[in-house]
Amino acid sequence: MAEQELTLHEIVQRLPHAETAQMGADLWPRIAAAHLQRLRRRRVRRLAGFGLAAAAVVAVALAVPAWLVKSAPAVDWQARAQALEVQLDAMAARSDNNGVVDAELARIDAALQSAYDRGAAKNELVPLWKQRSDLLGALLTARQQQVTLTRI
Amino acid sequence: MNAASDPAAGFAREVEAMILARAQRGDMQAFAELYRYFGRACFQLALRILGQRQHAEDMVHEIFLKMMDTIKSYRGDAPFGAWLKRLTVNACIDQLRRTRHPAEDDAELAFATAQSADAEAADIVDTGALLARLPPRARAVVVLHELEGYTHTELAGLFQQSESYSKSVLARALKRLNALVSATPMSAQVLPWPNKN
Repeated sequence: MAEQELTLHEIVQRLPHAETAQMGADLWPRIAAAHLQRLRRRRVRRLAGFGLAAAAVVAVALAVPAWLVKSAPAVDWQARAQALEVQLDAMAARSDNNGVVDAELARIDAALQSAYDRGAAKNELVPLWKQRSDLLGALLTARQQQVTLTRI
Repeated sequence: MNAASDPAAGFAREVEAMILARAQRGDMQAFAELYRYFGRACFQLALRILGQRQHAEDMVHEIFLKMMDTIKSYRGDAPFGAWLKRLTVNACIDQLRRTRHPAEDDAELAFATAQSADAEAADIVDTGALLARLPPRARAVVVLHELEGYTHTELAGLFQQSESYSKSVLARALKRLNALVSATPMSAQVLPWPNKN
């Protein structure tokens, strides 16, 4: 047979085409099922992610106030009140007694004592120490200005 | 090659805008339509490149899952069939890369392990059988360059090799096909298509 020059395209044309190889008839159902399964998995992952995010938000919302309370300067109020008391004691000799303030101080001290006796938590003690600190601060200021504190 | 048997004809099919719009919204019936339009073309192209029916079927599975994930990014700049064909070729090349033998990076070594042409000629009964006699990468280069119109520049990019690698693989593949076809009753000499770089 005389040798004939052919391109690959021509050879492919002359050979029977590979039509014998057919896709499985169940291929599309398998693809569709895999796609739907992936969608379901993604939805579950999204929901789980949303749930985790929501839980994290709730946890943060709960933790932050506790952290704020915990980090509130409880010791500062107590230390400040004590420091003010020392200053007031130093000035006491040249100042008049103030009955209203003394009564208020006594009330706060009683409340503090009661709270400590009960083993009260910091969030109960801190406001009392703050009240005491504020009162002493006001009293100190009043004494420095030589005025009488009549109202808290 | 007649249009009915040419996978490219399948990829050239036009798709109604409504079907594409529904598919982009995730409508399964629209996806099924697209599979009906292009599934066979994808399979035939994957079969030619990968050489095995099971691999081609797995590839169609992978391609359509990927298409359903990415169709929202299809902007309609090119016909949908061309977009899907590009997806198919890329997926097949990725598959070849995943399973490649280091020797295939060398055009000479890629053919060195191939059996003699004479011993296989009797088995060649169709195009698939002819192309199946080539090493995987050489088969992909022949299919994409000779049948799908890819240039050596494009092939170099796809295979992350030089253009001279692609040209060398093609020349050797055609020589081998020529030897195979010459050994069959239909004596022929295989030459590259003209006007390709």
